[in-house]
This record gives sequence, C-alpha cells and structure tokens, in this order.
Amino acid sequence: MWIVLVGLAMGVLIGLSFPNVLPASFANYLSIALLAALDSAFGGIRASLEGKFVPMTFVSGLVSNSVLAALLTYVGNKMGVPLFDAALFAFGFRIFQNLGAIRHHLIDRWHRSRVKLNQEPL
Amino acid sequence: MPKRVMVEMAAVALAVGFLIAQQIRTVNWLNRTAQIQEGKILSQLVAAADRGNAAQEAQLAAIQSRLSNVAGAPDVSHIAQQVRQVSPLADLTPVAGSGIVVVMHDGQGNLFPGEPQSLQLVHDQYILRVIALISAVGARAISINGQRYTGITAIYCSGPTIRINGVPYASPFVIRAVGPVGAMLHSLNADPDIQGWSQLVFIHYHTASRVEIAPYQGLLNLSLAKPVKIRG
Repeated sequence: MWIVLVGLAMGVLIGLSFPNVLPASFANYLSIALLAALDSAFGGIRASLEGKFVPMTFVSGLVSNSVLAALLTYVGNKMGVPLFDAALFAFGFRIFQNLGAIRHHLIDRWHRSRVKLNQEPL
Repeated sequence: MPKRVMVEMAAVALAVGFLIAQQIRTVNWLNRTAQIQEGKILSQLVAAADRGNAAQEAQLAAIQSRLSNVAGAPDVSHIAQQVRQVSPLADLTPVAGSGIVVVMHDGQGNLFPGEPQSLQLVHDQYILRVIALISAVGARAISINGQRYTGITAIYCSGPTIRINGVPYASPFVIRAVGPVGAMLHSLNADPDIQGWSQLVFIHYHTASRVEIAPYQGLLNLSLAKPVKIRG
C-alpha cells in the first residue's frame, strides 16, 4: 500500500515542480477525468475492504472511466449538451456512496476487534 | 498482491498525482488571470473617464475665455462679487483647518451561525448619523470620500455601494470635518448608536491638526427642487 502512496506523493511533487501548466482549455476535461479517477480510487478501497479487490479491474476502470468521462464531456460540449454536469452528478454521487460504505466497513472492523478483545481471557 | 501489480498501481497513482497537481495549478492560474483582467478593465474605465473629464474641462475653459473676450458683453462684475460672497455659504470654496477624520469600513470578523451578513456592512444611516452629530455641534465643512457635504447632498444605499452626491462609493468611507474638535469628538464618543455600530463594523476617529476639504463640484441646476421662503 505504501508504494502507491509514495507514487501519489511523487506525482503531486512532480506536478507542482513541473515548469509548465496544462493548457487552460483542458481544465474542464481534466477535472472530470480526475473526478472519475477519484471515484475509481474510492471504489478500489471499498472493494479491498470487502475482499473483492482485483487489481486489473481497478486499473482498467480507473483509466477507462477517466478517459471516457473527459471524452464524453468533450463530445457533449461539441453537441451543446452539458454532459459535464451529468458526469459530475454521477461520479459525485458514487464517491459519497463509496465513502459511506468504507466508513461502515471500518466501523464494523473496529467493533469486531473490540468484541474479540473483550472475549479474550485475561 | 504480486510485486508487478503494486508497481503498476504506483505508476497509476503517480500519473493521478501529477494530474491533480497540474489541475490545481491550472485553476489557480485561471483565477489569477480573471482577477488581473477584471482589474485591467476597471483601470481602463477609470482612465477613459479621466480623459473625458479633461476634455470637458478644456472645452469649458475655452468657452469661458471666449465669453470674456466678447466685445460689448454686459458688465457682470457686481454679480461676480455677489457670487464670491455667497460661495462659502454654498460650500463652493475649499475649507481648511483643524478637525477630525472618521474612517468606517465593513466588518471583517467571522459571522456567528445565522448572523446576517448585512450586519457587517457600513450602511448609509451610519454615515448620516456621524454627519448629523458633527453638524449639530458646529462642523464648518464636511466631506465624505472627498465629496463635499452640502445642503443638497443625498446619501443613500445603492446595492453594495453608497451614493454620495450621486457618485457611488464602496467601503471604506472617510469622513473629514473642520470645526470644533473637542465637541465633535465628544459627540461621537457619547453617542450610543456609534458605539454600538462600532462593534459590528470598523469605526475609528481621530483628530487632525489640518484637514482640507475640497469645494462642492457637482451639479448646481436643480430640476425638481424649488427654493422655499422660510417664514420667521
């Protein structure tokens, strides 16, 4: 797990120290792609807590969701349909659902550990 | 989990981290650019207004000089003399002397939950109250943000600004007054409204050995108001 966190931190550092910023016209598409990536990341954490984590599914979901979200937003802009808002709602909703599930799992785990601790003979 | 998969996931995390940092920087840059553009547009408008004012003043001076050179023009020297005599009463001459300076600006403290934000704004009644207090104790001349307070000055809220002599001003407001310093200070210190409002917004006043107040420069032709005869 720590190697992933190190990767994330290094990515942030490289991004901050990079001499250029991405073109402003990309900002909308990148923001929705990042929202999709965050949704996948929280989904991955939830899956790992439930013991259903499959790395290939996670990585492919993260990449494809991000690319498709940005692409659909672009196509929506070209067609005059605000798909950005639809994606924002969908991913935002899923992120909060995943966060709720993660919280439930963590609380369950903590409860179980407390029960186990109380049952152990002194 | 196999080591290869972990490395792949770290690579994905690195890419995501890079994009997050880039996005934050791009949005910051966009916000800063918008602010700079707004500032530029405002300064361009001010510069254009200044240029317009200068052109109008030049035109006025030219017309006045042509008028004075017209042969056979009526003798208006006695009228000019009368105008010179009543100008100070009409606040059309500059005044300087010892006085006070009152600074008021919107409150900057944190609001309590449910507290309306309007409580932190300087309202027209605050300015009117200060003017009423210092006028009552004998202020000879008053200005608010450089606008001379006269008998025909209107001060009222207009959206987020306060209009003084028809000109909109935003916080902060600086009231300058020439007159009896001690009496003016005492009137502000003793007024419960001013002391109460100073808990909500910033109100600070101090004495000044020399306060300069510019003459009234607004319109003099009133379209609706008519002079009234006061029966004594």
